[in-house]
Amino acid sequence: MADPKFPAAPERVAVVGGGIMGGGIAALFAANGIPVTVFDVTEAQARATLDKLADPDQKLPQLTSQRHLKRIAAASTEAYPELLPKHDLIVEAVPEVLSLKQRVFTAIDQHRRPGSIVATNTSGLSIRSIAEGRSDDFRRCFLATHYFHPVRYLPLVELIPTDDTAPDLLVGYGALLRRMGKKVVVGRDTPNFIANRVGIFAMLKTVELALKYRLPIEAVDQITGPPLANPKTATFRLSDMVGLDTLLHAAENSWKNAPAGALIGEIEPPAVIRALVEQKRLGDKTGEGFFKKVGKGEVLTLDLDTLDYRPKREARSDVVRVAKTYSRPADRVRAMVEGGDEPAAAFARELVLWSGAYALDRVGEVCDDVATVDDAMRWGFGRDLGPLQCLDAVGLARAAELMSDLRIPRPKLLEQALAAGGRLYEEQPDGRTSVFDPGAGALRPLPDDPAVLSLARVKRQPGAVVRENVNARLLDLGDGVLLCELDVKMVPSLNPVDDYVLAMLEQAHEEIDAGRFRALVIGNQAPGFCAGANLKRVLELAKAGELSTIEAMARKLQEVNLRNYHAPFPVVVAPHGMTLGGGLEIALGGQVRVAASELYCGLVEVGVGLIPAGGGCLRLLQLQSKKKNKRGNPLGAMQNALAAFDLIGFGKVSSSAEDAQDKGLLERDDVVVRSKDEQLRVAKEVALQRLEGFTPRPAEPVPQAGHGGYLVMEDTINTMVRAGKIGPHAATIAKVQARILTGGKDADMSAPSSEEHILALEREGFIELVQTPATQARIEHMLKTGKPLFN
Amino acid sequence: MELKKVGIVDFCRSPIGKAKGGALAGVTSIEIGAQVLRALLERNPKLPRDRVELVVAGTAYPEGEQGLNVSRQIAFKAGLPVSVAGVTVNQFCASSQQSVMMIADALACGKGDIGIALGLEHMARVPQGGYNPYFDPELYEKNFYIPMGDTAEVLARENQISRDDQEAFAVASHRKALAAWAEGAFAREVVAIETPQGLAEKDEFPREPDLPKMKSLKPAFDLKSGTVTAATSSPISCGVAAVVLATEEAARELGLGLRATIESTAVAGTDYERMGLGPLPATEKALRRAGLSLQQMDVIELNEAFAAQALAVIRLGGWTDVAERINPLGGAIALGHPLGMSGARIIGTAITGLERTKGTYALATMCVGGGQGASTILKRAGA
Repeated sequence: MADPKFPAAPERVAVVGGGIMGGGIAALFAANGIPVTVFDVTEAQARATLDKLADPDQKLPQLTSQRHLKRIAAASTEAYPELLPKHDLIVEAVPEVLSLKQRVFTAIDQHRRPGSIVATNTSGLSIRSIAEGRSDDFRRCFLATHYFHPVRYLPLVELIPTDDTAPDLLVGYGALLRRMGKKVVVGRDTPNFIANRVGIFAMLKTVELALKYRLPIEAVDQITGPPLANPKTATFRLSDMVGLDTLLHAAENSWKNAPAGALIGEIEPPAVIRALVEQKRLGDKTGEGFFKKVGKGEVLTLDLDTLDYRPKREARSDVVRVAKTYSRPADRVRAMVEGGDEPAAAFARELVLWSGAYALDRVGEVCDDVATVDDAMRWGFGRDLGPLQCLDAVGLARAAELMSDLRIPRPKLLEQALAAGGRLYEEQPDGRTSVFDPGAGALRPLPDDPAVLSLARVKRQPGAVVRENVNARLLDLGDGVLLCELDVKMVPSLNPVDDYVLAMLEQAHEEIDAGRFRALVIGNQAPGFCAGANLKRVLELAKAGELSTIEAMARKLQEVNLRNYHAPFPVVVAPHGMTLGGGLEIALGGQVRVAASELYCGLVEVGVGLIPAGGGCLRLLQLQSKKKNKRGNPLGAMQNALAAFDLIGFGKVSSSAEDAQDKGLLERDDVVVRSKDEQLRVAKEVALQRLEGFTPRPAEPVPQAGHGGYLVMEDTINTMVRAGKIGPHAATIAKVQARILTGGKDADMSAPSSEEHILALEREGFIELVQTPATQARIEHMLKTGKPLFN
Repeated sequence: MELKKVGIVDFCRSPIGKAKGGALAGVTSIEIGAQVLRALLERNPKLPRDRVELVVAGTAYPEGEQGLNVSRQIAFKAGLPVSVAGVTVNQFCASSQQSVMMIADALACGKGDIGIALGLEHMARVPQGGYNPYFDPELYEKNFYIPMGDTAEVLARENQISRDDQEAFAVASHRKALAAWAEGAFAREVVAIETPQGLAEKDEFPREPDLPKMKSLKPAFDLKSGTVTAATSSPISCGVAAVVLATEEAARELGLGLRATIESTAVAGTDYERMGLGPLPATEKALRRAGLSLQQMDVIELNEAFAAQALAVIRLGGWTDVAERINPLGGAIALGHPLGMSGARIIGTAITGLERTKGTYALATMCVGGGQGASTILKRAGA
């Protein structure tokens, strides 16, 4: 019998068992263009899963576009004989009860097509037991996948083969998941696999140490959040979100089923968690856990000693304050661990070292290598650094010393790594990362993934940085493609567009005009592409009355975008994450976009009392005017204006790149990539493809609704004011918006407008609004609180 | 030329649904219309389809699925032969009352024997104002495009119609509609509509009024000083009504039987900022033409665009002494007001009312955006 070959892309996937995980997995495949059948006991139950996916009011939708729903069918398991053989990948996601899973697989084994792949989705059951009694073919085609909830937003998938799993299958499945934007690690059939096993230990250790150092919950969450390279949800907040019953279940699994005799063993679930679970204080799902929600926005905190709730107390710690001043996670961790005698520091020190030692002790048991542990913790829990990277941050020699001080057993691997140079990770001169390989007793470079284009690595190539200023740089991506990287170091989370960024975009044209490059890509690998203009600067100028400077800034952004749009060479923009205001204007200024699926884009200027004045109104209006009805006729100038008004006037933000296309914030022809790591490689490929037979984009006339259309909008705005639905300043902004989108006072529907005309209206409107005290108040409020002011 | 007497052979309608989220929300006006018309034809087997001269459909927004001469589409879809002509008319809320009037006039003049009036509106599937609205700047300056809610506020303010009075009116409308449904008053009038989710059989808006909740609502159009709320306005709704008209002569020849005759009709203009008063001049004309008085009306269907508007008509028109004959089966506040449907609907419901009370005359009247009124006076057959 030949080994089963994993298909490059399955033709049809069966998800057996709906519910939260099944729905999330179905949505993932559907988003990647693969048809899915969700099987459940009854068709109605399967349909309920689809209905849940379709629910427009979900906080975190699993689908990136409602369009994908049409790829998902619902069926009853009674239809197995007819339907199951049509599926070449079968994913089981029924509840985590071994006997139930075994029963489900007996039926699947009976009806599946030989050679079809079967995956069980489990977070901790023994894979071997699940496969027991199944046919030979089944067992060769079988493995486990462990997704994290919510599937769309947490990238990690742990793949667990059995001894019988065909090796090709493991490789093929991993490649498929990576193409679909997931991050894959390979684990072993051990309790709770990797991320949850290591995560549970850290959680239980945190509780133990909190009691030891008598730290209240607020203090613990403050320390175990960003100061220790974790997300803000830290420990207790995360536990409430996950559910204490789920947590206890996993903790029991580690405690009871992990192999005995380890250097650093498991921790028995503490009484406090057992008590809370017994009292049905399970966290968010029952309204109380480590925190309790009372009334509007008020949250009480659990006292770990009395198990009563008390008002929330702000935690204060000098060492935390100092740690937070570091932008690099590793520096923060070091600052905490070396923070002296303060209880917060002592707590952090013990936690980091225990967690690191435990994790190091698991290498070789739960997975083969060092990087897998850290990868799993970063991708599954959203951490900046895994526990072993934290040890590296402290320094292995220093970590070893501290472990001895704290009487933490020192794992054998630690001694080996110390002997081999004292680091677990090391960056190579070419930008590649080397990791300590226990088998070789030395550091070995991680293998390259040709699908991934890493800017960190590009920058290490000699001569790759073509030009650079404080907020942007030009990079040689090879093959004649130039990248303009937005990299605003002072505010890397926002990457605001400013004079430096615009200057670099202009210089990109110089480089290409001089014949040194053939195509331009605009992008970066920051957390988000660009969250808009530098508001602080705009406010300063407005307050100083320097309106001509503001006008010049807007004009510059318009010019750069216009130049990109009509450039005599390909300009591809790669938006991802937060792409707001000026960021989206830069994106729309490109000729085509290669967008990451996780894209949150919108023209949100209204929130700060402004209107888009970098060509955003123009391009959005054009995007709407490209929409056609079913018969291929244009929709009419007023409909275009109203659609654009709806997007800009309410500052609508997409929930994904596909949603942005649906909403009309991106073009239908724009490319959407699932994996952010592959985005710039694809963008470069698209730029090169466009070189062949390239023709610049001509200036297109812009349909305008005219003054009569404006009056309709003005009337609606006035009606909304009278009804108390919007405030007076919102009305002022909306009217400026309406004027731009309908073409201004003298516009007539019969004469299409020009790009220049709409751009002039944008500038005029921007200047009109930025002078008003109400807009300035909105900007100030946003800068201070990060939230919009509705005045 | 002597005018022929024209009467109404039959009338039926769809239930009136919530335009958003209701059972008919996903069904087009074309489909609802075809089902209503088909039902009407099926229950009148003696009606020779090839003798139908024309179908006139009225809709306030003849665009999208209500555009492309929707009348012709519905007629064909419902099974009428291609020889039957189709016309679509627009007079905002009076659109389908105008359909009845146009057919009545044509038949009276000898242009045909039988005609069918349709009234239709889906207020969510086709946006209010249409897809590409445009205002003339000069008219806009003169407040010609005043929103309907604002006209209701004008009437309430000028005539001291309190919020309490409006709410009491709305409560009464719901109670009457609920009672009518409970008694089966609409059994002959409402035909069930098949939807992908099942049958839609009942009007969706009538409900036991919750006065404290009504009182808690914010004014819908003028937050500061307004008195009109969502509860005292007719709701965003959808539905189709159909009326078969024939000359007395043809009805007799074909053995069709008339349920009522049309005694007179009238449309009239009025001040657009007080458009709600339109029923007064239109009714005055219609009564004069019929040689009748308001007191002779046994049933009055006064379309309730807003409680404030209906109350203004009643008070300013001196209709208070016939108030108990107004909307005996509930009005648009409780039943819904799919704009283009309502004209035909109130004519039909007036006949339902006449037949229930064995009355003689009925008035169906309504106000129209832009400042108009439309009135029709009916006489029950055999009375």
